Amino acid sequence: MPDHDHPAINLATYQRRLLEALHHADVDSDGYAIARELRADPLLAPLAERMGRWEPRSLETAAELARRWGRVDPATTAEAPHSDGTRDQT
Amino acid sequence: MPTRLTPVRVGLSLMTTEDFRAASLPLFADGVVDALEWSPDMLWAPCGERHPEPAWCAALLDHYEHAGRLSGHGVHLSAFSAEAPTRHERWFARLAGDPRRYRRFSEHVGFMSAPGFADGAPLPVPRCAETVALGAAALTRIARVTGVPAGLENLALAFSESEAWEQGPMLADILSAASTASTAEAPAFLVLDLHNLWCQAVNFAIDPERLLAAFPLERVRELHVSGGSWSHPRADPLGRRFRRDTHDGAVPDEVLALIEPALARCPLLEDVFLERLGGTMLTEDERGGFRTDFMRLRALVYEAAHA
Repeated sequence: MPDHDHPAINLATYQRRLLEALHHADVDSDGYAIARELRADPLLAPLAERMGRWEPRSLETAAELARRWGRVDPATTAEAPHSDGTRDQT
Repeated sequence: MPTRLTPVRVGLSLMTTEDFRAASLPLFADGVVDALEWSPDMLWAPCGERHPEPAWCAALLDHYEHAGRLSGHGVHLSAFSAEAPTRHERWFARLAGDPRRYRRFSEHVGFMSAPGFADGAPLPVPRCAETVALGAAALTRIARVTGVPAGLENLALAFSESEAWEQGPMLADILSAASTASTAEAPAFLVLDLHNLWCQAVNFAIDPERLLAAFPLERVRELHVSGGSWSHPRADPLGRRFRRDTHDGAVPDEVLALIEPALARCPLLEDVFLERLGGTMLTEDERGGFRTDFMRLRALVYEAAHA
């Protein structure tokens, strides 16, 4: 069944778990470690088929981006635009 | 080949830094910059105040705004964050207070925040009903707040080849849902970033022209063109480089090669913007390279638009 027809995907859970895994990955972690952590998460089971196609080199690059531009802020959901325009673009 | 209904302008995405000013001013002085793109949220401070536009930027923005050639392009909404209501409310309140009048206004596919995580580079979202609803709601609200058509830009990062292939159909779903929800006079549009598309093509060994065809090209109003950089993930047993959209280098020839096929298939295209991050042109060689990129792009667009 295509993912876009799957009723069980919880976008909020996906986003939280992905950001946690990317931020937890230290500079010595390779993409396989990140993939293992995500695939072992029972809350992400509805995304197992999708995650099975994820390439570790992509996750490793995403972790690199998170280390460089991401900001952990336990107190809030988010609010801190940069003023200098310096970040990875899209 | 569809008949082109509108002229195509070639412009710049404006940055506020001194190196960008030095690099771009000769182009403005020569009158070769047809249009301008501006990200007002680059100047929105966390506590609510608005940093002033540098005087030279304000003069350019005034000029292009009055000529009806100023496009808005948000970078900090994180429209697809499922749990960022405060961020979204603040962003829209500031957008409502933005005094500039744009021709159209766009944001990005992807999310960068979740509870506990305040910012970062945009990350992919799966194609699902909730994603489509979030994107359509954001576009509808942007159109309502700005009073101009709202659009979305495709993302560079994908975690798999299948995610690269699903982005075009997902954008078609979102733009269609947003257009249904808004008005027929201002349908939602696609900002097709050719470097982002090429990032996915080269990272997953996809023919870029085939990937191009997977996007809703009939909705493209703007193209983005830029350079980027390479990562070298240790996780790849083949040692392949991974392309990133960092806007900090020259435009690759492979991206410029996509101009002609893109123009041939995007009948409603109106503007092509060259993007280069401020602070990345610290030498005269880099600034000259930026101007060369712009003039090459302009020549290619004009040639293809009038073919």
